[in-house]
Amino acid sequence: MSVASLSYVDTNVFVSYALGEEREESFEVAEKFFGEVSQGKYVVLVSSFVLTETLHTLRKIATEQVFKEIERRMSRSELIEVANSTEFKREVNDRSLKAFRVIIDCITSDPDHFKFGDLKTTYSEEMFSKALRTLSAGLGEFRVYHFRCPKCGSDIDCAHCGFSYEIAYKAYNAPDLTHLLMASSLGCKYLFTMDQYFAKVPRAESQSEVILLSRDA
Amino acid sequence: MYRQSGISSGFGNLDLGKTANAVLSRSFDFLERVLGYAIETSPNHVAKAILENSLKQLVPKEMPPEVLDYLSRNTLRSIVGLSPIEINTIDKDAIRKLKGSISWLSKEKIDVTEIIREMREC
Repeated sequence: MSVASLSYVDTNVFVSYALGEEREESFEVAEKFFGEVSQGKYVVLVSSFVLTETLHTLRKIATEQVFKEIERRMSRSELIEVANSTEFKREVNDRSLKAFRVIIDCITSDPDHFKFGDLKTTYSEEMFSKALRTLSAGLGEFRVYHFRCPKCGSDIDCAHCGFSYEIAYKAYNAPDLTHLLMASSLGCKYLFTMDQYFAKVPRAESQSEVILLSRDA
Repeated sequence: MYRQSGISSGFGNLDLGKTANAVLSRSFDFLERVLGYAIETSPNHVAKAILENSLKQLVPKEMPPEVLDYLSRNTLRSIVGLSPIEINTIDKDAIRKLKGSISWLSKEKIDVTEIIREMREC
């Protein structure tokens, strides 16, 4: 009988799976992975760092959702009033915390498939020095994106400067490297992610192999 | 400033130390019985040696991995205000329950990977 490999799972895999088929574009990729976990191929290591990112992601999603539910057009001052209101903050907090509790309840109830970082684990400055060396060794990519309306998602053009596009720097960075080096410190054989930039991190400084989960894989 | 509710609400009455105490209470009950028997049947210095040797097996640094994992799980639950679970709790259906469990959070398709990528680049 094969032994399940301890595997660090990136935040995007977790949240995608929990959001489900109707909400997440790459759900089936996450579903396939968790199917293999269920069959005993991998044991998922859940770090507090991943959970911290998970909560932040849920708050961003909840904020976008509550914002999109505002039906009538509002001025800047009206939106500031809404954003500062107790009702708006409570709505975002209640929804995101409820979602986070559901996730925590599931993963803490199944010690066979989900393990947690040892509370006594400490990370050294040397780990972050490795991250700096890795980041210094290469430059990422530059991409051109159309400006997009955060409420409806439509492409927009700037009425003032006439620009419709921006140049953006895209690369793995400090959080990615921290995840990878933590995975290594926690004894994980693999790190599973759905982020193509993350997957470009050189393995040299880590014992954990990055596996990019994608529809093509 | 808006003060959020919910997070850490469990800390007030359930912290790591209390959880650890709950986990170890059975062991200490056993230890107490061993000590009582040792005092009745052995000289004081022997009873003391038995006690010290037994305590070495029970201090936190000696806790087995499954107990440490249990403490981590309950600490997480306490952070979000969930009630503690028993050490032998195993929900074999948890992976299936997790699937789509928070779909109600949004009403439309989301690219979570892109949202997290943007977060990491800020």
